[in-house]
Amino acid sequence: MKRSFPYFLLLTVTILVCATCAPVYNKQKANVEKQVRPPAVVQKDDQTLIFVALSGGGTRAAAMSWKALEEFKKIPYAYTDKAGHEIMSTLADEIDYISGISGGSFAAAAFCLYKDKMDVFRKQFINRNIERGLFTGLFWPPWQGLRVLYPGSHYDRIHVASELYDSEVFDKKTFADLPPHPVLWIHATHLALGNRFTFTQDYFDLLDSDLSHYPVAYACAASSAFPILLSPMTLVNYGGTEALSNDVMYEMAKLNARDDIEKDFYCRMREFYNDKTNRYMHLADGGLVDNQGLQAIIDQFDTNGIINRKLNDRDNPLKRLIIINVNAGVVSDEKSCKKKSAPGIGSVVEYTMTTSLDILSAKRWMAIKQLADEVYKAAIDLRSSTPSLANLEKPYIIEINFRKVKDDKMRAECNKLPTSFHLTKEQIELIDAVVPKLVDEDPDMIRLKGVLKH
Amino acid sequence: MEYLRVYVPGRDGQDIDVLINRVPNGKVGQILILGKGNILVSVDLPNAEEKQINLYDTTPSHPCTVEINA
Repeated sequence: MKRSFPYFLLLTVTILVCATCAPVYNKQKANVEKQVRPPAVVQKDDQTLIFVALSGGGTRAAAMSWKALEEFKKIPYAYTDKAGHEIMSTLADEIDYISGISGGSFAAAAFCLYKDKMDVFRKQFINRNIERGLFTGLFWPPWQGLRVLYPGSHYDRIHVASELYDSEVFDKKTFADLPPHPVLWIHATHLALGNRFTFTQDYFDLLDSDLSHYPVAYACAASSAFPILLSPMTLVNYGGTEALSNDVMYEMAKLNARDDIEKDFYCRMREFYNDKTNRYMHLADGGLVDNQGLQAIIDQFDTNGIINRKLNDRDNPLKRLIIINVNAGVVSDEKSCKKKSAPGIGSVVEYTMTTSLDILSAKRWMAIKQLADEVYKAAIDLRSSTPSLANLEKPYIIEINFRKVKDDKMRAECNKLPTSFHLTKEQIELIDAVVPKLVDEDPDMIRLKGVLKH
Repeated sequence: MEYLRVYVPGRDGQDIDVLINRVPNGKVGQILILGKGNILVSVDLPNAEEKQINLYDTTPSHPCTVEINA
């Protein structure tokens, strides 16, 4: 009996530790706005809308995104504000919406939080071996492994990652710490629905939840929760208190759902959150539905989207639409088709979760180009009857992508960069060497710089 | 892209907001650029009527024209 006492004590302490250290969940909102509305139009220069999408791809994506943002900081951007003041700014400081997935979500969030001290993110994320931190985090402090293994704790590998990012990358910042400009969109995948879930108050309204208390690091962890390697992130759905029949956005989407798959997805999402039995939702890597964060931008061309409302804004007409896609996708040389044997589990996971999805993302980018072309043609057609469209410049659709590296050897080296949370010094130097050229050589960036000089 | 023009009889030349799905989006008299499909159209005036319109196959030179009584 005496000999078993220490074990009993250890077990009791372990259970207490596991039970009391519950993971962080989203909080219920005190005053819930029942009317669901489209996202707000946020601009610094009210004649310009700038969207930037930062793709997934682990530290490779974060490093590429960060270097591109550093380059945008060097591009002067001057304009006259409403009061007639000359504003001297930079392209980076004028970004209105920044959309990030997985590795790109870290750069997007860090840019919003630390854009005036760009070195911080390099030190805290890009130059660090995050993978080692995640691995040791499972075993240190010693009770960490027990928390993960104890089923009643609901604490899992994703929480080890979240806590690491929270304390060592994002200084425990929550969404309340983000500045109002630029607007941050971090995307994850709602596993049960196969839909995008964006960490914005508009989405949290659907859960009757308050985003402001939620740690930015947890959103990035959810956005990069690659299946199997990391467990999904769970959010609590406090919704289901309002009849959907009173909601115009839902009702109109329902009418259009038969002909428009995006509207159908929207309806299914609203119905899910409005079902009180769906108390929890589980999120995984945003790359599973859109590895470049582009669908959120496509949506803004639709009725009442941000771009759409600006096009119809006669009081503050849109002059310049800039959409920048920083895509860290690589083309792997490893082709299982050279061997007779079927690919192993690792290759199958890679093919299904990255290779095929990269093609879908590329199609989304083509869709953005087509929509921007259509908008410009419409503006030309309507110039005589709608003077507010007369000043719209041909949209600037800029793509930063390793595919566009001109030097064959360098491009091959870029394609060898791994999708992981650790890059060597040489790999980071390679990214830092190619990205400025990619920014400088993009035809629409050249056109934009030409306009900005005048 | 679809195109819509909204009129309010007796209010020509007035600066009135158009409401698309009850959200302000453009002005009365202007050709509005919108997406395809069903929308609710009204204007930001007291007691304005609300119409459901299905937008399809419109062009800048042949927009859908809607009259809203208020």
